[in-house]
Amino acid sequence: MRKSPVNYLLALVIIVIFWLITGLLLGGFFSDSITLAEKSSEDFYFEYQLVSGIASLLTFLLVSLWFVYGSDDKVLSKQNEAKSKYTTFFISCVMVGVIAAVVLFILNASEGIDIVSSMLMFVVQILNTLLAFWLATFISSPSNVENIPYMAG
Amino acid sequence: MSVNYAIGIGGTGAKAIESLVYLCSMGLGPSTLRVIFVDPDKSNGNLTRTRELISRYNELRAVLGEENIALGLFKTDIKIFTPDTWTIFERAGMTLRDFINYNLLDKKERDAVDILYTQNELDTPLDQGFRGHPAIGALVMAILNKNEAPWLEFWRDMKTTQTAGDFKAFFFGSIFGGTGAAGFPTLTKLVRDAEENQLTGEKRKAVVGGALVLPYFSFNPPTDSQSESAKMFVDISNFPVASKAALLYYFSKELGVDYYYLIGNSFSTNLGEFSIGSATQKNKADVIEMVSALAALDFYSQNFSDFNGANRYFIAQRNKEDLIHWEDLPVPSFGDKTEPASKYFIRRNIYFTTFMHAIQNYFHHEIINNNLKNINSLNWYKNNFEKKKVPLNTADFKDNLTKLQDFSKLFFNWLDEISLPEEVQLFKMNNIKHNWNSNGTAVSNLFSGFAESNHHYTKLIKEFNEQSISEDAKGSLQRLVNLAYKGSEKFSKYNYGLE
Repeated sequence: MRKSPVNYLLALVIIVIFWLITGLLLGGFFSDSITLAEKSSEDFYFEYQLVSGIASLLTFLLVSLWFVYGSDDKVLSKQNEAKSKYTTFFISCVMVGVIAAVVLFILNASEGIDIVSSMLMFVVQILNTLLAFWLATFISSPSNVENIPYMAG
Repeated sequence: MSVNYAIGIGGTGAKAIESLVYLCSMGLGPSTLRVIFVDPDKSNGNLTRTRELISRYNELRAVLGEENIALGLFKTDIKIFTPDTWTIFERAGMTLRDFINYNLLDKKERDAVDILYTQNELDTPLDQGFRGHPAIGALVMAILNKNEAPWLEFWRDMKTTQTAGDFKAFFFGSIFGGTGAAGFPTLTKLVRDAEENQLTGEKRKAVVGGALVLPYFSFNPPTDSQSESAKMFVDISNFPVASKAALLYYFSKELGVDYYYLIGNSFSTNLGEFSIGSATQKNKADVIEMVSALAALDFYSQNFSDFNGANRYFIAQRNKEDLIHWEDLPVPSFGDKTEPASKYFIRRNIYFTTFMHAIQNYFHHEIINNNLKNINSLNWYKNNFEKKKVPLNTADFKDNLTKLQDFSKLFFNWLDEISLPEEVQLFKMNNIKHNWNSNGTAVSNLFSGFAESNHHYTKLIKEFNEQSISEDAKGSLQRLVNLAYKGSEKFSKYNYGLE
């Protein structure tokens, strides 16, 4: 589970599942429940899926970079550095989620989306990247760094 | 179980026992060993160094736990007595004249003494040794009080031994100096002929072995002021003549030794400044002393139940004149006999040295200096210590780990000293001295005669991560040592191709 390529495949599966939940399922929910000024709900749904998909892809990229870093044995002597590195990757994931949410706001700026729906979309985008990253690294980080993800070990 | 004694006579004897202790820490020694020193110079630097080493060895052995001793670490139970040294004289400043009560002798006796001894020999205080004059030592050592420690225990052990050949007494001494040259023939004969040694018929309880060390070192000549103040001292120019005379003596007389190990060297290591004795006589270790210790191990490994009293002589030689390599060391027939003894010997050396290197460069550094910060997310720590609630930050544990670290420093210093002559090609001292951060592959290349390895030390940490600790190991130090040694062993097996 922690060895390549199994850990990469597992991470991909986790991220895809998250995208299915946040991009397809919750995207469908938002497109049905939000009232838009001009844009059709199909167009909104497509854009939502696309932005979430790109965010998930970037999340997978960050997870992969962490796996590459963690599978180098030299990290065994630099656990302090690894902890900082993990935090950096984690914050990067938050940033990806934030950017995805901001992109969605910009694309729908003239549609008059209410504040509660906007906040919900924001939270969902961050969770899409952050939770996926954390779960993937929690379950399948290389053994050299398996105790570094938050709450691991 | 046999009773094994190591008796170190004089400075060379003490130094050979130092080597023996290091071999015991690797797991190459017998299960028990009792040590006696013989030296009128009780503050001799060599003796003090060995005494301190045994004390540290015993302190560590007491806290390592049975499960680590079972791995071979500090396997031998080394016992020393109080006092541990037979200093021969009851008071300081004793001269030969005082010892024989010269002034109470009649005229004929005095004349005889005057023929045998010079005025210098009669009047020089002997509490710094016999200064290369074995004739003095031979006289005073023949009078041995069996009821005083450390000999009291020696004779008591011999008395309680009931099986032929079960009491093994091994003597170390130089043939060319003062104390060793005097004590070796005198004491070995006393032991072999002792009443306590006799069984019914021709059988004896004790078998006596001895490493007779021929000249193997030199030192700078004394300065004029040293010569003037000392009057009587060891002179290296006398070494060859003294050795020749002693060898002729051993050859022509029936002595008390059953197993002779004659050990010498064609090149002599310069030990530096001249010293008459006392604390300043602190000589560097030499590979010859390790060979002497190996002779003792060979002796202890013998089964003497059918010993017929015939003398045996052992001589070893190296293959090339200008090189001492692993295969040149005369290795005893120890081990479990499932592999060549030489391989067993090298294996134990490698495991222990790698383990000591890991203690010094990794465990002590990360636990004490870095306060666990860089290791608290590693599997070996999480699984074996944090989750099991075994703390690595108690004062007691840190104290014991520091003691182990101190032992490793002494051990590496000893390796450095025996590796000083360029002919000795056993260890790669440059790598041994490197810390892991300055040279990542140093720990993979500690030994001469093996192909260069490019294994980074993180491979060794990986092995620590994958080890499971013996469930019998309960305490923090026991668990850490168990993990460190098993990991070092596993790493060494593939790194040096020992599998």
